[in-house]
Amino acid sequence: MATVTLPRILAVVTGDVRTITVSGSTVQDALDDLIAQYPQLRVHLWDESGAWRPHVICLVNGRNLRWASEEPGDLEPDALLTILQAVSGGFSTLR
Amino acid sequence: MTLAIGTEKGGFLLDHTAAGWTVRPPLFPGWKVTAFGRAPSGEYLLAVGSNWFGAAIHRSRDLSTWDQVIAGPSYEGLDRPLTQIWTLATQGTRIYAGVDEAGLFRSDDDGVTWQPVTGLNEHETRPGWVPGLGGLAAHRILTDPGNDDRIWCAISAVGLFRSDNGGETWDTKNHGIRQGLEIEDFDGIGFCVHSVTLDPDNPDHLWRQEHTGVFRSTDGGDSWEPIEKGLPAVFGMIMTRDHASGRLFVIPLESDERRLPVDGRFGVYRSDDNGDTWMPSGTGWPQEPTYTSVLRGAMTADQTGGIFLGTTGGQVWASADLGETWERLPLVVPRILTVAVFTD
Repeated sequence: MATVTLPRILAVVTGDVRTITVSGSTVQDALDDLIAQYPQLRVHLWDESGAWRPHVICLVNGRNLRWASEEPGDLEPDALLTILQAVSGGFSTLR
Repeated sequence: MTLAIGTEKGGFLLDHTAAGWTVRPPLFPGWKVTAFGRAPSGEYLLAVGSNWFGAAIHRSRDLSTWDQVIAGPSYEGLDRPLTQIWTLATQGTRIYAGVDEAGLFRSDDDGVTWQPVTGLNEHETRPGWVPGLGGLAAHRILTDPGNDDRIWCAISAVGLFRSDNGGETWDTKNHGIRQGLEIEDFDGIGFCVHSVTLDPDNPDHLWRQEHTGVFRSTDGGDSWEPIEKGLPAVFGMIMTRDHASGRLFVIPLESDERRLPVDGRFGVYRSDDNGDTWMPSGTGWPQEPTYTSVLRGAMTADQTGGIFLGTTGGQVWASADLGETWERLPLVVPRILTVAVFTD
């Protein structure tokens, strides 16, 4: 079993839950289980094309998946997946 | 009466009683709150947005506990992002959502599920749609209270569209508007409508704050004429109408380059003759130089004499007497994106 932690801003859509236990032997399986438990998170983590949102970071045991040169492989038992907003997302289109 | 303020960093509710105004704790702190609405069932609707986490709609029975719509508006399967929900409008049993990138979605089940209005979203002129400073947004929807099939949709940097068959097909409605941008190969677009309103008792009568001026139509938007006499500037972002009195309200800004009140004199202008003439609206405005503005979703009328607006500087102004007198409400919030009133 792995653990997913969410940033505080996403807790508003999960009823203030920020730490979620998920099952799965791979990162994808773990994220699939996260969405199975909280389907409202899907739109906030993936865009319409199905790609992971560009300004959202997922760390696996502290390692940024986006910078990884290899596929993440199987999840270790008790792995920690940390979801964060990236600094790069701070640009705002004027209204 | 509850005044709902959507800002760059959260939503704020102000309740008005005989004792005055009370401010509730923030809603969705850290999120843009971009639109408010009301479902046919009476449930409240609220749209959030985020540069990181996208956009979604939430529903509530009491303005306190909110549930996110799981199957909200989405361009799923298209190479087109949905970055923000700009407006929500209810017509009978339907709810419409206008979004960026520009498009319209409709719900027939109280906001639980949403479908694209492809007649507009895939309009033949779409290849010529280009974003303006405010993005490429379907930011205002008008409905004809006497005809469910007639709908108008305003899209920034593109223009106003109207459907006469419930959204199946759409025509551009910008004849007579000073054009801001000529789009090669496409007639009828290249206009930047900022705000539009109509007379619900005579829906052929519309008024429009455009990037290039202020206009009105008496034929449902088929044609437009300028109505700018008395305005210190013709640029602005918002127009509001009190339907009982017919009084119109705009907030003139000095040019599209500067977007500031003329000479730092912030305030509303109004017209009591359908836009033939304009005059400053009432008293109570700041005497000190005030260089702030009001965005296109940030002024509203409660239709019982109350007019409310929120500024880019985070201030909220209110009038209870159709703009004769104004007061600044006791709070300062982040940049205000949208203002709505709930009267029950």
